[in-house]
Amino acid sequence: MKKLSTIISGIIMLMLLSGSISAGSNTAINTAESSAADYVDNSILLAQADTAASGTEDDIYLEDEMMDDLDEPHESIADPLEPINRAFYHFNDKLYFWVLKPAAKGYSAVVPEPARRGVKNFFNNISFPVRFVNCIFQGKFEGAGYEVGRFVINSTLGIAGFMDRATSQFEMPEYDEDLGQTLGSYGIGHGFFLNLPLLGPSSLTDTIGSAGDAFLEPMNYLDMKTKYDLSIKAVETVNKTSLRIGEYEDLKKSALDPYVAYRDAYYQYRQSQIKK
Amino acid sequence: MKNRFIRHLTAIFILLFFSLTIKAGEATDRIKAATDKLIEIVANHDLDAPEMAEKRAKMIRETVDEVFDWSEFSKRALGKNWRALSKEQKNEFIFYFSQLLERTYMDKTRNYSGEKMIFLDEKIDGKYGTVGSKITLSSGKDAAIEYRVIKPGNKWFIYDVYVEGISLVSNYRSQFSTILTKSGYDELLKRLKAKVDEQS
Repeated sequence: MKKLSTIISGIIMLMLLSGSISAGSNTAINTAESSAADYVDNSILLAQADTAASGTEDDIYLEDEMMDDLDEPHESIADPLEPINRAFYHFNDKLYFWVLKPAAKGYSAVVPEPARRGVKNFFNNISFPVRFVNCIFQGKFEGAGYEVGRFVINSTLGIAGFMDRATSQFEMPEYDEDLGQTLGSYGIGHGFFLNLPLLGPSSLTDTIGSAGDAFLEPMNYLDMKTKYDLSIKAVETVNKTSLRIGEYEDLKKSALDPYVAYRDAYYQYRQSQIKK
Repeated sequence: MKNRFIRHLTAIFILLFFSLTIKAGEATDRIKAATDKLIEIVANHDLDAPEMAEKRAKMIRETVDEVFDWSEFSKRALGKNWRALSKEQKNEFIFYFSQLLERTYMDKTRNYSGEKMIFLDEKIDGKYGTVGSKITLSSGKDAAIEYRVIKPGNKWFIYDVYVEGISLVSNYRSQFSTILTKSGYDELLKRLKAKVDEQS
């Protein structure tokens, strides 16, 4: 009995210790910090946004020399077609403010938000083959399995995909993979930036990717006249926009060069998706 | 024997408590405190009245200034161009750039409708670190927000924010370098000032 309690508490203690060691290693590294002594007071002064006393002010920017990051070349996407891209940017900008946004606003006045989320989930669920195949292309077999599970759960329990039960109840989040990311994961670069009319920001590789993905998109196989096809696309677009009103406005408002901000946001977003 | 067991138990509880307090992380605590304070301000409807707008803005600004290191933001957003500036120019740039970022932050709080922020993890490497968090948007989607933090003295400060993998600093750096290459620093400062004026 005595032995048992000692053993048990010993094991628990060990577990806890290892836990606190791994957590504590943060602070351990902290103390092993290098000689950044003169940096210390400077940034605090600046962070207070005060113009500091003149004595220490001379030292304020000393640490510039220590910042290697300053000289690191900034990663960005090539943009040889900038003049055309900018022209399309202005076109899409007007299209958004004059057509898409008013349409989305009118639509959200009629359709309540939960229903709009449902429509989004519905379209998302149908695009399952795109994600599934690209998971496989990238060797993400677990992701492919998850996607199958998600499709089954959401198509049944989620009532034809209108509810994302897989995420909300089974903690199976979506694996958002597409052919552009697949090509990226094979080491194929973006090529260059392309801002397409109506479709918005893309890159050479991503444009080729979405053309390929179109073959996997079940919506494209619906045997319907083009006009119905178009209106489905329109519903999807307006619905999606209605859930994101304000995002583009925010970006534009806080940017000094909205086109570059937009291009960079696209590039960074895609890069982070490829890394996932 | 019983006594011994109790002693073991106490030791376990002390350790448990200790490990939990370490796990939360200093940087996370700082950001969380500021976020909680911001939510309190934003959720306080007494401050919604037009005559309180100035007070509200001031309270938000003070809270944000407490955790954001604007000089680090400015430095990184200008990259190597930072070195070419004189001390006065640097201070001027920090002043206007911080105003632009504060306004952006303030605009974001205007759309706030009770979204919850969850802090996920904290990674520290020397005086740098990252704090991961996520916020559930009104559209039902989770947005990943990652804070990059630096500890110049005894406190952590935010020097960059990644929203869904997009770095705020990098985004500005692209814009700034485009303007600097095409038109030079004076034009950049002019546009920065104009942007701040336009928003106020």
